[in-house]
Amino acid sequence: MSTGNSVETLKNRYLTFPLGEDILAIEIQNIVEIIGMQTMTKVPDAPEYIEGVINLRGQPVPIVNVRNKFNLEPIEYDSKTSIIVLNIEDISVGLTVDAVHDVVSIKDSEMSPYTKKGRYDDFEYIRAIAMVKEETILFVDCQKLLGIDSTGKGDVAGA
Amino acid sequence: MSEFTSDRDPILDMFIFETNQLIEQLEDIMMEVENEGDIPTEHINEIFRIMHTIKGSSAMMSFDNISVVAHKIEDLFFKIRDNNSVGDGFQQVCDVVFEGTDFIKAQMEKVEAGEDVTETADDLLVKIADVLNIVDGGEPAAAAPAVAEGAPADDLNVEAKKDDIAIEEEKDSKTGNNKFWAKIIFEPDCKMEHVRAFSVINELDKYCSEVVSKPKELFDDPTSGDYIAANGLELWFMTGAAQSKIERVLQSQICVKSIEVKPIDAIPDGSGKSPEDAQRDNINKEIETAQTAAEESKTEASQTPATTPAPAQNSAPEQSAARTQKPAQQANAGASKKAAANKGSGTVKQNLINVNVDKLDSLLDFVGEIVIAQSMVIQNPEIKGLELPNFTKNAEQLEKLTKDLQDVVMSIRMVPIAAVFHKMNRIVRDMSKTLNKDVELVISGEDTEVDKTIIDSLSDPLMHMVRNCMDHGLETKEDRAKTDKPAKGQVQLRAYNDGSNVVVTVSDDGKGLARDVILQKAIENGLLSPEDEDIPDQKIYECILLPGFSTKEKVTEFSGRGVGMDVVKQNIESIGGNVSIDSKVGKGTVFTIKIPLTLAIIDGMSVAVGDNCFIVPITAINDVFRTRSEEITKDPYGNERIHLNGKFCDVVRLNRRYNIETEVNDIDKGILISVRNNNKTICLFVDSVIGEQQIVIKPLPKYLKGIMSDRSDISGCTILGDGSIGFILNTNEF
Repeated sequence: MSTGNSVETLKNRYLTFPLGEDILAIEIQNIVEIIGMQTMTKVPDAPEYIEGVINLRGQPVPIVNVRNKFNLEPIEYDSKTSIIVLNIEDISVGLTVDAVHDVVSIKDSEMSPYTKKGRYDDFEYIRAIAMVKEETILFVDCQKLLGIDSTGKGDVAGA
Repeated sequence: MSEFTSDRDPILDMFIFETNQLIEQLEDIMMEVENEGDIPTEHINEIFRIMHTIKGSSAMMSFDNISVVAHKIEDLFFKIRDNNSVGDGFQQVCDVVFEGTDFIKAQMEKVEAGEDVTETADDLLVKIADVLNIVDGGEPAAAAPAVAEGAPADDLNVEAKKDDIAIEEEKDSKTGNNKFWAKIIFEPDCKMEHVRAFSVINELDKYCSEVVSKPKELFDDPTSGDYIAANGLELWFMTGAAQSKIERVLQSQICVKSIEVKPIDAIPDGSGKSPEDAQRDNINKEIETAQTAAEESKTEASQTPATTPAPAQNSAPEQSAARTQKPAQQANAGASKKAAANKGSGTVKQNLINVNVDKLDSLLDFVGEIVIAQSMVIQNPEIKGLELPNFTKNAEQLEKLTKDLQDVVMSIRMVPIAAVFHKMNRIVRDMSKTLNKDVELVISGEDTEVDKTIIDSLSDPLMHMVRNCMDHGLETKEDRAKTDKPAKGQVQLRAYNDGSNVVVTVSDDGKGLARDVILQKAIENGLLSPEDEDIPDQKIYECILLPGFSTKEKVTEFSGRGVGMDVVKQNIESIGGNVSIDSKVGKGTVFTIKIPLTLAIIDGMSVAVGDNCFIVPITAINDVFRTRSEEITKDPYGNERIHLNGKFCDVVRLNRRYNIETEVNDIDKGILISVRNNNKTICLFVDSVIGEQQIVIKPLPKYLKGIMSDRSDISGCTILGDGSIGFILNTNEF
């Protein structure tokens, strides 16, 4: 989707979004687009974190609820609720988040590894932590969050 | 393969396509030749030409090892043509050609896979040289290559091929001293102009003692390609060949749009200095004339027999883009004699084109989108229940057109099964030699057409089944002699249409399957239990399709390892087909494969369960009906059954199976659909039937596939008229 040059410009840039009381960030490189809430079709007998599938311009895209993944109570959708459409290892997945904030630039060297068990049981989804503009930002490891390994398949872990 | 095509250099793509096609053609010819026990002249020429084309194109793509082998076989056939006989070496010639094609095929597979192609075939080259000696009645081998050097010259000229004088002429051509200037304009957008120029010069080198080109440095100078693209390639050379001959050679090169050849007095200094100023002026003038004369020369060229016809009327620049691929395609189409004849006469238009499968795939995708968009418009909730006679009429018209469009697109993707069938010829040949069995392959229904994607997954299973027939099925020569069957064994390939399916059968007239041996082996492996006294024969036979099952005591080159037949089952099932086996002791075995005509669009019945919509393929449905609770019997485990046509069928409530909340829980309120489940019938209980419609199958999103890998009962999904997503059920997996 992008040439070598634009990959360079996308690097070290992150989209931030709120989750409960925290601010999380996802690498822009993995993001295809951000869309509003869509009509969702439930997937029969799928794990709870799979909210459903949406029809994104003729292609079915499965949607993962981030709150559910982090063991947070579900909240009502409102106009701020967004779907972040990701493409990782050629797999398209959408994430429902409460809202999206901003795009920030931060170098790897400015991040600290997130090792201490924090608010979330599933802290392995968080790979780093950093201060940006006096806000604490937690960096999400999308591959771990979605259980996508290099073989290009989602797994059942966390179901 | 398709995943590579998009990234690959289009020239490489074309090369792979052409070479594979040529090799297939060559194999067909050789099979025929071997069966007849004689090589007719036209076949010699044909093989010669194929090898020459492969040699040239692989050299251009720098696959030198392929080029060398092709070159040597070409030499061999040059000799054969020259002697007009294969001498005592008929069988050796056949074998060595087969070996050569095998080598090239193996290399081509590597090329396609993007691997390095460096393997040399020294043994093979020695073998070819030996055969060449035999053909030549033991003449010293050293003499042959010298003659062969000049051979490639006339291959594109069918007439000259048979013309001994022409051959004589070429031998001397290098030594003559006619001096010429030539200007070559390549097709716009043909890319890699400097490489093409190089191959032109290379070809010319065979006839010329001295060749000077402008631009001088083709590879060291990075601008040379652009220069040639803009100004054309200029050449000065000395040769013994006539001007017409040179024109033919130049015109026959790939991607050449037009040429101009003129006799000159002197060749400019070839020492590396650019030509003198005076000459420059001359050249510039000539360029001008060349440009104005381009039209004329093209017309001339197209009238020269058996050259690539540069379209005479086609000089408008906007048309040239569309033609960029043409010469390559023609070179390849020229492989068939018919096309060659067309070229000669210049009156019959080529009415076949080669299209990248990716393009067809995306065309099909678009048609799928149109079908979806159409149902979104026509079944739009906002117009539901409105009285719109005109709209309805137009909508029907649109639906008809879409259906027609879809049929056309599907038909474009349909290819005859012949190519796959003919591949089996080769396997039968090789195996009958190794196994020392006299076998003939009988093919029928090869015109039957199947979707391209299905053809691709059919090749391996067929090969395994044919191998199985050859190795296990047919008796050895000695055993067969004891029966009253003809000495020559028979393997039959048959294909025919059966409704929305294509049936392919592979059968032999051998000894049949040993029911008891298979049964015993199956019990040993725990595939069947010994208590199952009355297992149907079919079921026992089908055990040989399971992984790791082989009754053959000895592992041979071809079968017995227990891999192979399970591939058959897997591959066929992955394309939505099924395999069955029938056999009679002493009479033979029949494998029957049933595959769907196409995979992309099916007729389906959409049914509602709670908020979800499922699609049941129409082909799986027996009946749709309502029933009363009293008809349902329950066993102590809560399993529900219904009595239908004298048999009890399991009732599967989709809402329970998929944990869907619904208000329809009473059997009386919902609908039952009886569907085929392998050889049984089961009944699906759903809330209601939404309707019957054409369904564009989309694979489940990868991510879901990974998560729900154990759910093979959902084979795919589709976008419904209202934009929501329906799940397609595979009733065989319930």
